[in-house]
Amino acid sequence: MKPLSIALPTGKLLSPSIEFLNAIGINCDSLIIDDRRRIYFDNKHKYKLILLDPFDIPVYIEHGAADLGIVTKDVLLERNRTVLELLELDYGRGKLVLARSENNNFSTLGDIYCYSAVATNYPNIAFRYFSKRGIPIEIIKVSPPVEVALESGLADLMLTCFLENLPDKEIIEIDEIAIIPCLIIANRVSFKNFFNQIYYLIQRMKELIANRGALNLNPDI
Amino acid sequence: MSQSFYSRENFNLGSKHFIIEPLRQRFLEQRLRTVFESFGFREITTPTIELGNSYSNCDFGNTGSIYHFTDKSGHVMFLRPDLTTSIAKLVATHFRFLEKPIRLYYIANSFLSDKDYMEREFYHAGAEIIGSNTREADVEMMIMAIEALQKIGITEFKMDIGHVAFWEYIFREAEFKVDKIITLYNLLRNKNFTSFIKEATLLSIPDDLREVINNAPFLRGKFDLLNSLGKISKYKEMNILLDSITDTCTVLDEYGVGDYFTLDFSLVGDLGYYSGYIFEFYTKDMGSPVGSGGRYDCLLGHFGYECPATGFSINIGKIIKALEKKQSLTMAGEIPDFFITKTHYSPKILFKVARELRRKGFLVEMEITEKTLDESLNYARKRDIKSVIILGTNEKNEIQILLKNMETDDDTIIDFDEFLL
Repeated sequence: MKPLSIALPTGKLLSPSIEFLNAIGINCDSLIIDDRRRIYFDNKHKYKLILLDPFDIPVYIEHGAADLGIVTKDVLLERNRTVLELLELDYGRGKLVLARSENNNFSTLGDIYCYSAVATNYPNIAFRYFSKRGIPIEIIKVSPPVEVALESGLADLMLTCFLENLPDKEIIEIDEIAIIPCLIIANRVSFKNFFNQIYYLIQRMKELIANRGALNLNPDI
Repeated sequence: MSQSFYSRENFNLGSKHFIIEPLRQRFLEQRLRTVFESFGFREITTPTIELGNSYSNCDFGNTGSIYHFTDKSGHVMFLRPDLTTSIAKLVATHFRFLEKPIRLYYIANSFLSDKDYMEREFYHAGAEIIGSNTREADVEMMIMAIEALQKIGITEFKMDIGHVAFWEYIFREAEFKVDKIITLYNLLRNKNFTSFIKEATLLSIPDDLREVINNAPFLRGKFDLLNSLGKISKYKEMNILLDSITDTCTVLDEYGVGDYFTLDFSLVGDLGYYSGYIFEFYTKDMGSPVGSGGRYDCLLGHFGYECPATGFSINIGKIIKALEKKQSLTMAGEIPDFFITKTHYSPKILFKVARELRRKGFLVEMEITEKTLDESLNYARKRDIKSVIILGTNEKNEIQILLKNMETDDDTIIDFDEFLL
C-alpha cells in the first residue's frame, strides 16, 4: 500500500514534531536532522516523512504531494491555500504581534502615519491587517529575524510571529494580532482516501494531548 | 507594443497554452456528449463576456476572483466564472415559459483570476436540471455524473454526498445567532475544522449536538454513519432529513453505484448558492476534486424567477491530468498512422500517395523539410510513428516504395496499388 506522507517543518518545530510523532507510534528513528536528505520512511514503510520549509508545506498539501502536514497557523494565513485543518497541537504555539522599537513613540495604532514603514515576513497578513484598519503604510518584506529591520532603522514597526516571548526588551509590543497554534493539516482528497488511517492517527493524537495535560488556552483567541 | 511583452520571460504570465490538450479534450467531450444526450439533455452555450453585476447579489463565494473590465461605453463587464449562474440567468430571462423540467448541458471554458496561472482559464462539462425539486432529479444528476466519469475512462473515483440542511438544522437547534452562523459556515467552507469546533462549542449547547460538532471532520460513512447520528434524530427536522438521505442512499445502492459513494456531512459546497444535496468527485491521483455539484433552489430567484434546480460540473483539465497520471489516455489522432518521406529526389507522386492513404481513412503526415532520410526517420521515431513510407528510385530509375516498420526496423518493398487494396 502507498505510504501516508507527512510533511514536517524544518527549524524550531522539527524536534518537538518528531517527538510528538514518536509518541503516537510513528517511528522516526531513520530521520537524521543534519543530513541533506529530505525524505525518510518509518521502519514499517507505512509513513513517509518529508522535511520542508514551513512556508512550503501548504502548497505541498494542497497539491496532494504530501497527505498530512504539521504547520503553524501563521503560515496558513500567509499562504492562502485550500487545506483541511484537523487538529490543534499542544506545542509550537506562538503569537503574531505588531511591535515597535524602544526609541520610537508609536504607542497605539492611531499614532501610525502614512510615511511609516512596517517590516514583516508576512506581507499578505500585513496587507490585510492594515487595510482592514484603514491605515496607509509601506510594507517591506524581509526575511527573519525581522528585529534587525527595526534595529537598523529600515522600518518603524515590525509584524512577525514569535514562538515564545518577544526576544529583546528593546522591542515593545503594540498589538497582539493573533495566537498562532500549531496544526495538523490534510489534503482534502488524501483525507478521504486515507480516511481510516488518518482518523486513527487523529484519535491517538487527541488522546496524547489530553494525557499530556490541558492546553493552556488563551481566552482571547 | 513593446517587444519584451512577447519575450520568453513573460511566457508564463498568461493562462494555459493548449497544444496537445485540445485533441484530448475533444475526445473526452465527444464521450461526455453521448452520455448527456442519452439522458435527454440538450447543449446550451452562454456568453463568455457578460454585463455587470449578475454575481453581486447571488453569493458566488469570492467575487473578487472574477475578471472584470469595462467596455467602450464604460459598462462593467466580466468573464464568466462558471456556467451555472449564467444558465440560471438565461433560463430566468429567456426560457421562463418553456415546459419544465428543462435539461441542459454545456462544455465550455470559464475564467477565475485567483487560480494558479495554468488554471485561470479552465474547461468544464456540466449539466443542469431546472424546474424539479424531487429526489429523482438529484439522483439523476449523481448517476449521470458517475456514468460520465466511467465513460471517459476514470475508474478509480469516488463521490462524496453531503446536504446543506444538515448544518443549518444543527445551528438552528443550537440557537446560534445569524452572524455566528455565517462565521461558522465560512469556517466549514474553508475546511478550518479546528477553529470551527472551537468557535461552535464556546456557547452552551446540548451535549448531543456538541458531540456532532466535535466530530465535524469525521462525519463520513454510509448507513453506519446514519445510525450513529440516530441520537440527534430526536429533532424533528433532522429526523426527516436523515430519513430522506437514507432513502437516497438506498436508491443509489439499488441502481448499482453503491461502491462509488460515501456520505460526508463536513461538505458544505465551495460556492455559496447550494441549498440541498451537494456532491463532489475525487480520484486517487488528484489532490483536489475533479468535479462537484448540488442543488441550488434559490439561484434563479436572484434573477426574478423562483424555480428549483440542480446540476454538476466536471473539470476537464483535471480529468486529463488524472488520466495522464495513469497513462490510460490512448488518443485516436494523437499519432499519425503513416509518415511519408523520400530519398534524394522529390517525386511528384508524394502528394498522391498521401492522398490515397488519407482517403482510406489513415492519418498521414508528410516530410516537408530539407532533412536527409536519416534525420527524417529520426523525426518519425521521436513522434512515435509506427510506419514510414519511403519514396525512392531503384537502379533502373523506377519509382520504388518502401514500407518501413519503425518498431522492428523491417523494410518491405511494396506495390503501392496492391498495398492500398
